[in-house]
Amino acid sequence: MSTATDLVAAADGLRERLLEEQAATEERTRYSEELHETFRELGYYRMLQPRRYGGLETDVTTFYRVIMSISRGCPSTGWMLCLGSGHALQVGSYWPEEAQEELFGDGHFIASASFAAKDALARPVDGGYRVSGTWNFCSGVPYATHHIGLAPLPDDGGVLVVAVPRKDFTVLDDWGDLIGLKGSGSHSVVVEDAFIPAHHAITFEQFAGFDVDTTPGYELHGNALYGGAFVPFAMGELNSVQVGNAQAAVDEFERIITARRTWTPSVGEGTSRAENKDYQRCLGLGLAYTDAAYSIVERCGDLYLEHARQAMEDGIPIDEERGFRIYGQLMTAHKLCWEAGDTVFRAASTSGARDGARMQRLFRDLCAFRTNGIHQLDFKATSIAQARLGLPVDFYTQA
Amino acid sequence: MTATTAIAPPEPDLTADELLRRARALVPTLRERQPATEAAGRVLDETHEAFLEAGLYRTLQPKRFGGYEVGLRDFIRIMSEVSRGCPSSGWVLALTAGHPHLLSHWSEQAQAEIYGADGDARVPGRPVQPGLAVPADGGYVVSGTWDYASGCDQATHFMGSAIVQGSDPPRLVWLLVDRADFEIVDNWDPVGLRGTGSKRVVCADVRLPEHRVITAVGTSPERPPGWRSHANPLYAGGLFSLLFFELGAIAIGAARGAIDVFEEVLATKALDIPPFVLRGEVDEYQHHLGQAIGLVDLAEAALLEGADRYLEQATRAYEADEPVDDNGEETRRLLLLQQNCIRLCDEAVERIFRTGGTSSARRGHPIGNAMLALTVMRTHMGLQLDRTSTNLGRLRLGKEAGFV
Repeated sequence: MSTATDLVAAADGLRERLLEEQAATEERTRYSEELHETFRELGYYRMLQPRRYGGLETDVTTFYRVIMSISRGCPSTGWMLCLGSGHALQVGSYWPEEAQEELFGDGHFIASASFAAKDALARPVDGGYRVSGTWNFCSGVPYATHHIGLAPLPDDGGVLVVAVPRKDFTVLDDWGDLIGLKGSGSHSVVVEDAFIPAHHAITFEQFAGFDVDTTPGYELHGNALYGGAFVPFAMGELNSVQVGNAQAAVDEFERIITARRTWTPSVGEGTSRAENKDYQRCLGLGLAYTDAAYSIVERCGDLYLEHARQAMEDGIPIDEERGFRIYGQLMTAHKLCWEAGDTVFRAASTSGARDGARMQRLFRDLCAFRTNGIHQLDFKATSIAQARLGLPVDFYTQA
Repeated sequence: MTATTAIAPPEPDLTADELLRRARALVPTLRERQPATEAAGRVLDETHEAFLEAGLYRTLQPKRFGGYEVGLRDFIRIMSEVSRGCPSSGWVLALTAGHPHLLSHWSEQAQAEIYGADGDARVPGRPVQPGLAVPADGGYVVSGTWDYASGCDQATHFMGSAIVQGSDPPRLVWLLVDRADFEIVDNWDPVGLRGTGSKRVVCADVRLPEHRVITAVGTSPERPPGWRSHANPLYAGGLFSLLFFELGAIAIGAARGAIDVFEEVLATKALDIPPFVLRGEVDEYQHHLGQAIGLVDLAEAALLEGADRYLEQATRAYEADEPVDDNGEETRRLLLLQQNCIRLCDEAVERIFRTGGTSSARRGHPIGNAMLALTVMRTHMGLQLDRTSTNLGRLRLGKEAGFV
């Protein structure tokens, strides 16, 4: 299992199993240990890990394709796998060699990460920091070996990004009350006064900044994959799940209209819904929207590498405008995914809105990310324009 | 037409403005009760009592059967206002309070029976999903299973549909059964509007006299027995288009309720990222709020204008003694107007939902409730904008059109 095609084909091959396990995954709030083992055997946790630590150094677009395929079977599973496995790229890019050596360790590395901290603090001590805090929405944490959290330094001394090993945190049983993505393993993590060596922490700027001409990861691995701007990558991850989720809704709609007939008072039961143009139109729109969104995500995966290569090899740094314009594309993909899901949900009849109905679950999953405060195109649009115009970006500057 | 004894309304001088004022006064309480209502999966008894006490179920009920018989515009405003407090409770209210129009299709005798001695009548209905009506000495023996019976817990009667056994072509009839003659099965579990308790109603071998059964409106050119049974032309208007005013009113109320909460969010919640100011200080949020208000204003204006058009059409029908064609072009245009009104409300709520913070997506949150109410509403078989658009286009081109 190594070529890009194999990785995606294997994900496609899991589709039926993922569909069958959706309800149980939701109930459990995470995918099963058996599935975790399958992902492990398929190398899914190693896709973005550097080769020198046993990884595959898969390109970003292939990674997205795998996540889109898994999410098409189960959005919660796709989300959890994606966020658990994707942070290998972050560590592989920005952490120094010594830290990478220790963090990737024996080659099995899964890390959740979260911006949403409560009372987080990194207190400088000899050789490192004492870190405490609670982080919410730590997707991927159930099988994680590490958690990566934002932690402010005392007295407005800046913000660190720290990698905390599993032995130093506890996972709260607090996931599942959001409307959807209930199986995404997005529990909270609590760290109590853990010692984190200095080299396991980087600054927020090192991780979120655009304007760099090299990174520790690029120096170490000689692959532009580790020289990109992480936040646009992360946006692509989230949208890969949205694309798979919307495709799943369209698949389900196709199943429903093929199985059901129309009904009218004067005629009674009529023809198959699949033969009716109104249903055909919805299916066609759903396919068109999701096809377009799929292409956007692929393109943004390619752009990640292209921009990184230019920054690392040609001395053309990734500026804010280029980064923001990737966001703009991805947020447009998100709009299309929502539109696709909304279109097929409405036309699938009220029975699709009932508890236990797959259509209902897929719609709820789409709703869960729809409320994301920073992932709104109409919010981001002004930032894109400000970057373009060379004006200071005054709102949602980082993401 | 035989004259029936008039029933006096409980408060003979009650005006539409006063009903609206009472509805408005209920809004804060209804909003507080939203989580409990959704969790209970039905309208709470205390809410039902409040509706009864305020006279809200009698909003569109004919005066001589103990109602307040307000105009359609007022009906829409009052139902919207209640839905602003709680879309599920507003749904049940609107779908029962609007049904005197439905009842007006039955004979005087049947209507008098349903309104009884005091005019206390709530009749949810299911015009499709027919059961079976077996003709039997001057009446029928009826069995059937009808889903989505909004208001069944508060009902005094139920209107079901059935195919008459042996009829060819199949004759679809609507029938009125007493509360004692049907069972409620709780199979209501949708993602939104949970609090409506729109459960399944089941009848087994219920004997009904002839006058409780009429040919389904819109399936035959014959006049319903209750045609022009009230002097008010409102009741001579198209049936389906009247029923969708109920949904339009609920949609407007649900959207206004979401805007209310969104305003509170913007005034009290700071950004969780730089620059950490109150959301209401940020241009982008201001823009969303303005957009949402504008969309709902437009929807409401359209629906109220639609109410005027409805009444014009009804008056023409009444005066010409010629029932409205429920499948005609004019009626479809009204339906399309109602559907578009709901679409605009949905768009407004969707804006609010996605920018009101992730807490909106937690169970029981009023913004999430409004969003899910609109979403589930839009799965209604009569609210398929694409289909109605095509059907209207076909009618305009002189071609035959399908159902709704």
